[in-house]
Amino acid sequence: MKGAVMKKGKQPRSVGRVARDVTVIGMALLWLVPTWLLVVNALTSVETYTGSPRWVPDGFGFFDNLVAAWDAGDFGQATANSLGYAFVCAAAAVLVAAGAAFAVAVMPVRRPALWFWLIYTGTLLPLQVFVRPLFSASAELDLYDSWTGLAIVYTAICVPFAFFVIRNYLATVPREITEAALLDGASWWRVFYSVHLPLAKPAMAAAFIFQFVWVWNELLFGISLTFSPTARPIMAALADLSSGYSRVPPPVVLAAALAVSVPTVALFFAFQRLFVSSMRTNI
Amino acid sequence: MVIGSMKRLLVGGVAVTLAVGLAACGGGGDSGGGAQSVSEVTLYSDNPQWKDGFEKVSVDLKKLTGGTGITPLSIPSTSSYEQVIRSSITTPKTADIVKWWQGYRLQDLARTGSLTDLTEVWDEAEKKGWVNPGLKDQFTYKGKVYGLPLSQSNWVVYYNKKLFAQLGLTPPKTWDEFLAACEKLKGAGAAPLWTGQTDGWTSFIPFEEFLSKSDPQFYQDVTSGKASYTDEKAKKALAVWKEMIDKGYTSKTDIKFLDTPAQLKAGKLAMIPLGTWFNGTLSGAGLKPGEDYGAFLWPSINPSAPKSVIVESGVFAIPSAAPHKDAAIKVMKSWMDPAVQATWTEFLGDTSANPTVISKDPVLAEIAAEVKAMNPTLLTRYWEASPPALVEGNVQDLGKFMLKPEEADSVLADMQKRAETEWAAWRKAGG
Amino acid sequence: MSSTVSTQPPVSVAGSAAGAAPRRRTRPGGPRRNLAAAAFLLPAAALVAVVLLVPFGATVYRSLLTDDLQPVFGGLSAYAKLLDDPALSLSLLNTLLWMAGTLLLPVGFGLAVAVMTNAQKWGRIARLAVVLPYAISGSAVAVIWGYMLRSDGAVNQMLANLGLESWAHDWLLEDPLNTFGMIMANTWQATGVAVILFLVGLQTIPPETVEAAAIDGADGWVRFRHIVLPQLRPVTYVVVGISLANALRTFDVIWVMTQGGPARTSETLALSMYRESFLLQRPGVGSAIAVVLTLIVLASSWLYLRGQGKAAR
Repeated sequence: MKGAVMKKGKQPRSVGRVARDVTVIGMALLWLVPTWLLVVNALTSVETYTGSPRWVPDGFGFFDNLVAAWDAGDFGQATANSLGYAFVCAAAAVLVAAGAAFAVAVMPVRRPALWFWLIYTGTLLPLQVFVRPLFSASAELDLYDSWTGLAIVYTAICVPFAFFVIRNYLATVPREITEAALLDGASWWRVFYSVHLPLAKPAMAAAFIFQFVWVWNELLFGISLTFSPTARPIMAALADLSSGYSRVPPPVVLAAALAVSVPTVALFFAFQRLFVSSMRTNI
Repeated sequence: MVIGSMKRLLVGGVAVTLAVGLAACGGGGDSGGGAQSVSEVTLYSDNPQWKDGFEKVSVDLKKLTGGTGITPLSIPSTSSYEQVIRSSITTPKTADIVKWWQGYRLQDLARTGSLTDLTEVWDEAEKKGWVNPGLKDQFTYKGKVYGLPLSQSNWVVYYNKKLFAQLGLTPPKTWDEFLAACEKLKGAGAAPLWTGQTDGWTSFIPFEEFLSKSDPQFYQDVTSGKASYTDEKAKKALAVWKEMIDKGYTSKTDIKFLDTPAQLKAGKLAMIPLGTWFNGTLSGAGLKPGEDYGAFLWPSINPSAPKSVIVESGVFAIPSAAPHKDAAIKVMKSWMDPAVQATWTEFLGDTSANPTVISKDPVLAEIAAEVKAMNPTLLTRYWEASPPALVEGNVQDLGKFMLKPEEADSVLADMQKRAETEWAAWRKAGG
Repeated sequence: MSSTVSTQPPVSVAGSAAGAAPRRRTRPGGPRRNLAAAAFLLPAAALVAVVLLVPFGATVYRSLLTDDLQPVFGGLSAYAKLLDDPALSLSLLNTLLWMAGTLLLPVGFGLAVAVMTNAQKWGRIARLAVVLPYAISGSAVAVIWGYMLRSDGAVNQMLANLGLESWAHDWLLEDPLNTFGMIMANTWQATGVAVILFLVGLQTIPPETVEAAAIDGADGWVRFRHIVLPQLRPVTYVVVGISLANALRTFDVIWVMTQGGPARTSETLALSMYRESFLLQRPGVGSAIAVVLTLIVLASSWLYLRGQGKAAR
């Protein structure tokens, strides 16, 4: 069937197709430029750094820079902390949000719009607003500088976005499926667990990845709500190097920033498949 | 921030459930301890790189105080640090010793009543000759002293020694020599003087120097609200700056100060006006003191004006609610001891506020000797010399001037307007 | 998921994804169903309410107090100060610029990339190039774009090499070039989010609808406009909503690149709030700015999203 379609409209299509391919290549190349600069400048060794950025690498100081960064900062424990925060908080938020999304999009809740806005508003508030209140609250509850305290904050912040994405996705599921399951005598929990949760996997995966990346890259709460090595996330450790008092030269900081991005980049690679699994639509 | 009981109930209800379940995951904090012999007092700062230094100093302090040392804790972002300290300083969760800033910034904190009076400690140190008496004003609020100096950074001009030697230049002693050096450096393709504004605070550096080297008394008057920014003397300072910009003696203003060591090393930049705390950053970039770089004090623009040097001193203060206040005071009493200061400033790479401690670094030693010989008025750095809100705003205006030097008069008028508003607000709040 | 629409002609496909059943009022079946709904909703609602909404409420309350050492009730005086301050008016203008920039650029590019990289085998690689920046931390993005846009940075270097020195500018210092530059930096990173979300949305489109149109002779562009785009409407709401909220909250990029300067000309309301609350120690005014910013985001989200109420169930 595909072959027949292609043959039919081939002539006018190929010009359009070439234009499209060229555009895609052009955009991809443009997008790679800053990434290229990041890598090149992270490779610069401290000795040859002139204070201005470069376009082409000059020697290979990357590993020296990394070692210097590792010595200057305290990254081992912080990495473990952040892995914990990112996995646990993103997963917890996605699950909790999926439940709420299911309730709002599928279950016949009274005033679904109210619940939607209640939870969605969480994404709209500027985060700096929370620093002082959360600091005071965590101090009073003895959760200051604890893994638990920061984890609760991260999970809560991750819920609204996940909720938004999953809810809109679940809203596209035809009602007939839900009704059929209910008619079969399934409880709401069963319907959620056996029908909607599997269906929502792409949305949940997308939400998980976004929140994992967000938690991993998060800095503000990391430095305001924790300071000891057992609770500090990795961006806080990185901030040690790049603070205004830093004696660590910029290439080292850049190399560290690049190295610290590796887990999230790896995650993107690994999860790519989930977004493109059933892409048979030939647009 | 006021937390209503309703909120406390809500917050408690949910969080307690989780907290009880995972209580074991709590992190570190201070070590606590009984009222009698405290072995560690906690010290909060916004500089994580000081950790090693404090550990070294702790060894000396333990000997002098009979067993009490320092546990350093830090928050790497200055503004987050400020928020945390301000929120916690009246609660028992605060640290025993807190790093803060001098001048009006210290006053800002002291007037909330949350700092311990350390006048006795200061006077004792001064009697022993352990602290420079000229600094006392910067640590005082309404006649009482609230902190001890972390160090004494003199503000100097760092220069590329090799470049100077190449061009046959020596550190300028007069303003004309300075301008002549700039011209030669420009001809050699280097930006003569670094001036920047994208760090958010560095735009006041040339302003304070050009003002104070013309008329230090006026600098003190204008920063204490007694003189106007629209005075002729302020206009003249900006005119001097504008002349330098027009002649191409200043660098592009979007170079951050942490990039300047590399640019100095590469010969793209010739002079950097900063405090002597910058030593550490320069050596971190691989520059050797005395060989690759040196420093000189700013020459006077007005030869008949009294000599002055801008000085920056961090502050160590003790919150009134500190959990181990007595131990902290004991530690502070020994803080200015020459043994402690020698260890500390060697680590820091800066000059001590204890005039008896001589630095081993050749550049610092030279500057300290010059300052001693000159016997100048010690002026507070602009950042701490006026109420914080006033300084923050004026620094932005100076940034505007750097971009559009022709608007000097309107910039000064804006600065004066702000000064009037902010001084009124400061005095209303108890001054 | 697409089992019900295979026999319907392409034209009415737009309706099915948007939700076939009319919204129903409460159904009989009382307490047990409500309990079930509560169980599903409670964890999320409780977390968000306690950690986010209550502090925000405290912020709104704080915006009604003055900034004296001992704050007293000041009513709307903090809000009045917003109208007085010219720097804050510029900040508001910049915020609106950011809003426009983010609506057009990441959303537009995201859609284009998601749709156009479908067909080729190597589309996945191109997509990765666009999506990868999202994995890098905000401050690293700011540093590298700072490197690009500085007066001695990569862009000006390249222009000089190409002989186009006259095009070189002080990108970070001149206003509004600095704001545009930072919007580009944000776009570079935010497009990845849009791409992924649009990809997820593309999966909800039944392939039969597209193939049916292809058989009928519709070419790529027509298929896109009339078949694909309408079915992407639910996910477009998500992308626009998220992009808008993120752009208005952007802080790291601006703070590291220009600190809102020079002379506060590239400041947005998020930065102004930070400046007032944390640098100038005026939490009353800062809280007022936070409330205004939130209202702007809420209003624009509501204006846009209420259209999807029809698409809900």
